[in-house]
Amino acid sequence: MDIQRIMRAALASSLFVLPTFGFAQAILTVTNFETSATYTLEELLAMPQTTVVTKNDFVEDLTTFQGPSLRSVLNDIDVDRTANLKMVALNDYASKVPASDAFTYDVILAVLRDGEVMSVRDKGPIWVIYPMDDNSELQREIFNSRLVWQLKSISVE
Amino acid sequence: MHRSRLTRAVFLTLFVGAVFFGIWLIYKLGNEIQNIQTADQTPPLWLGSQLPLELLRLQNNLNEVAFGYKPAADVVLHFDIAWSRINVLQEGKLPQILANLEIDQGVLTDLEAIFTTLEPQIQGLTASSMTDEVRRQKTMTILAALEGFDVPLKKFLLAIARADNNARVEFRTGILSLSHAIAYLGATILTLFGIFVFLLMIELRAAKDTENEMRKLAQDATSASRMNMNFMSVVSHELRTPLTSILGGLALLNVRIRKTSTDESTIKLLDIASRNGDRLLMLVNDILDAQALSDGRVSTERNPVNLNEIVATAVENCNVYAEQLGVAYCVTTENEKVVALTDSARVTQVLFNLLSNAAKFTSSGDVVKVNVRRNKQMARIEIIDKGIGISAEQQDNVFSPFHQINPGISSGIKSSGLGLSITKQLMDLLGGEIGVSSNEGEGSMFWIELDLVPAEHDSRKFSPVLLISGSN
Repeated sequence: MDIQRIMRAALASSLFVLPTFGFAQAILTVTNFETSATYTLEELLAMPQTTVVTKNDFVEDLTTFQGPSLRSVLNDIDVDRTANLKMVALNDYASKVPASDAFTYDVILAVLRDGEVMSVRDKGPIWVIYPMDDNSELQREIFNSRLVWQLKSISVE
Repeated sequence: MHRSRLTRAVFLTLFVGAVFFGIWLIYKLGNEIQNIQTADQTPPLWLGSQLPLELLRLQNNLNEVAFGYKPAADVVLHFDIAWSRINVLQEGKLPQILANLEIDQGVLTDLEAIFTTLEPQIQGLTASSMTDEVRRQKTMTILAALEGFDVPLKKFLLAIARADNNARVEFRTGILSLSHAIAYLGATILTLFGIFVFLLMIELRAAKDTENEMRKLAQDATSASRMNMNFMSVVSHELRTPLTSILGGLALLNVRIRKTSTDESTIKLLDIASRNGDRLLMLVNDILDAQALSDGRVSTERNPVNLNEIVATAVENCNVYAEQLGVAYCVTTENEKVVALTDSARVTQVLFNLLSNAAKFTSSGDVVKVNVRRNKQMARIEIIDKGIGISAEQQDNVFSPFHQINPGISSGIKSSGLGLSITKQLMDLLGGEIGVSSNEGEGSMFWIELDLVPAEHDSRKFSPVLLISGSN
């Protein structure tokens, strides 16, 4: 019983501490077998930004998305362009995406939508965005499933 | 002919019909493809089914937080995720699709309203000052508030599943009708090809028929003219024998009458009879010659021939006839021999024709000039008369058969119209040239040209010059 109580106390204190450090919390983990990297929202915003203006099935109008390119994130940990990526969302939804997409198109890890940070309720904090309006071949159904929102982690399979 | 035209019309109509059918099919095909593309681009409806799942997860987390197994922050996260699922269904294309499928979206607005009221309580769970007991009670309240959504959400799920199924069926139907359209199009194209080939065959057959008809007509025409010629030939042969007897008899009679009688009128009548008999014989001979030439029955025998001698012989032969017309020949030859490798009999015949023609067209008391000269490698014989001449248009036809130039009213001379044609054919046979130059009213010059024999042949002995033979 004691142990349980101590654990609960630790849990409670962690809950107390979490909001304080919340702003610096890592929101994305990228893993390439042994190597891995984590990013906070601030770090993602500090990276060279790519802007994609596009429509997709999940937004009403032409929307401006901004964030680092998926390519640059993959390059950080030397992911091969032939690799297959597993993208996992906050609810553990997983989508398989070929890394070549990132090298062929300006696929971005959008962190800003129309200049604003996206909440979890609004598909944030990271939404994988394909430049669909600029490349008609990306408007096929298969790419819809690659628009992973609430992205949590990327790992090489 | 009428039936073939009807068949052609029917097939042409079919062809046009098939073309229009094909166009309509292609148009339909385009529509089908558009439909399938639209179906393909529709965001998946299973996204809707994620909402109940996330709600279940939220409820689970609430339970676990209530018992202290998980930090309250997890509840906040899953609350946000569940809310994001409501938002997903209310943004972009999905709400329109749900409305089109007549799926009741009331549950979404109800759920959103509950979420809005629950939000402060959920956020409150993370407060550090809260005791476990209070937190448990609060989570229970929240759980209670979320209850009652099971049934409407299940209905929502069912509706979505049904709609999804319908969409799949529609998609499959679309693919099926697309494949049907493609099959019809293929069949149409094959039909078109078949009709095309059939029409082509009909056309080819018609063309062949026409060709055969034309060929038959041409054959008929040729055989008709051949029959005509044959008839003439037979008639001429049959005419010549009695004619020779008549002429022989007339000649004998003439000699006797001149000895015994001095009756001028009788002698004149006899002269007229023998002159006309001679002309008739010439005509018959011409016809037989023309027939022989056109049948290719005339052969030539080439030897070195001195054209000077040939001309002299021909002029001698013609002299009797010319004298009757009061015309004289004036022959100019080269000093040296003019030797050609040719058939002397045929050349004589040619010259006889040209010389008698020239005499015929020259008025009495005038002279016909005959020149024999060397012209480079050719021997050239010119026969120049001072007759009526030949107009420029007529010069082109002068060598064609049955062409006649009116020699003038005064002369009263007639000919078969075959002479020059025969002459031309003989020259062709000998490999020589024949031509005419004339000014109307001033006279004509007919000329023939034959190849000269190279110097080494000059030493050869000349064959004796032969008189022309009437016919073969």
